[in-house]
Amino acid sequence: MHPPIRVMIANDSAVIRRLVSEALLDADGFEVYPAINGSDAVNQLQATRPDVLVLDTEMPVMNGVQAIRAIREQDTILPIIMLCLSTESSLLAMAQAIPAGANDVAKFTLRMGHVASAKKMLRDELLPKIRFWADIHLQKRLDCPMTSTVALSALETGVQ
Amino acid sequence: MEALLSQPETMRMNPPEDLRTRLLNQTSGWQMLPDIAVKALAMARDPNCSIKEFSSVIERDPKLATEILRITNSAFYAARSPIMNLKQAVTRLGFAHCRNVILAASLGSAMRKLPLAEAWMQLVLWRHSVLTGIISMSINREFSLGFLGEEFTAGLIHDVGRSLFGVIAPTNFAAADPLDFEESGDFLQRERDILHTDHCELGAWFISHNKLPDALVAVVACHHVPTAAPEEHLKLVAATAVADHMANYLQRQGSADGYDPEANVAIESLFSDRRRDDYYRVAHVIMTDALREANSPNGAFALH
Repeated sequence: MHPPIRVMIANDSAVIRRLVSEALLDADGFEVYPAINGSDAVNQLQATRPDVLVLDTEMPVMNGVQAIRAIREQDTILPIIMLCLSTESSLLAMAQAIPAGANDVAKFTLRMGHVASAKKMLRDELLPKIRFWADIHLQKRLDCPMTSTVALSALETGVQ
Repeated sequence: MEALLSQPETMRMNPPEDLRTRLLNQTSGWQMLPDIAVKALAMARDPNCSIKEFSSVIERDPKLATEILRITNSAFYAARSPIMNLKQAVTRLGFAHCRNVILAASLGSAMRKLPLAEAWMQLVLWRHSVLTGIISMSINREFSLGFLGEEFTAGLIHDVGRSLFGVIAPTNFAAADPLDFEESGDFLQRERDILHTDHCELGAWFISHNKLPDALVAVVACHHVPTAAPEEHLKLVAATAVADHMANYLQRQGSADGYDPEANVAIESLFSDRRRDDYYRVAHVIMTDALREANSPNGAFALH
């Protein structure tokens, strides 16, 4: 049996933190650690040791791109996925995310729909990416070749 | 054509008895605003209230005070130098805008305590309300309509009936209103078919019951049919309806690209022909600026 995937969710919106957490916990196999902004995420990394970090683009105190740069100075292997709202500034941040050191981006909108459709959006867009990158991370940590079917199938379907 | 023509040309304020009872029972413990915010809002309407008295009330709620300072220092209020204390903030904003800031700060924090499904619904509606409020303020400024902050409050509160439906009848509400902001011609009729009233009627009855000003009751009741509003409130209702149409488009599309201002039929209740042309010219800029402000993490109305 696989250990749960430890996911840190850094987002300044309490409602979105709860939404992402519930979407992950509903799916089983995840442990969730919340952070209220980029700085909080950086400060918690040593203590919580997540397998994947999911960062919002726009946060007060330290935004997503700033947090990625700060984290990459001390940790080059932690998978980081930037969760991008479909806003003008968020799309700009999305373009900066990968060059700054993020592994992936996932798009998300809070403009419309009820909570079920918002969770579905996360299940379809974010969860496969978390699983893919967590699997790679776990394999790296175990220092053994990556043979995971999850990672392989994700590569085949172009998740990356 | 949006739902503007689908409602009878009267101001309806008589939702079914069972919904009223459910609303009063379920909202008796559902206090939207903290006590301090309610008191501060009342004081801000009192012409004899001093800045010192007003600030001293807000200071009793440190979270509210902090939020007001944050909002006052945001780019939206264009502070040239940092505002360090509440008296400076109140002096700079004036009481009318203080009311806006208190409402924005208080309603935003109230959502965090709700169950997720409800909190999410309120977040989506809140975002729409804030967009409508910001657009209303811009229209007021751009066209010198003479409002003193009530246009923002009207934008913030115009869809309160949808929030109330979500509280008293969440399952039926989700069936009646997918929160897609399409608002086609049968939008209100669909609500009436499923919920036996519409959000305009329910909201108007509720805020009238809670003794909010008649102008706001008219906005809530008539924002889909401005011509049904009493003459003395027509301008505020029409300004809100115009802003609502623009905010709906931003919710659906995520940008002002492709918006056709001439499709906004509420403009006919607000402006003469000549001013309509001016509106058509600036509509996109107003929408883009409003979206930027609503989306900014450090903006005046950021959601945390």
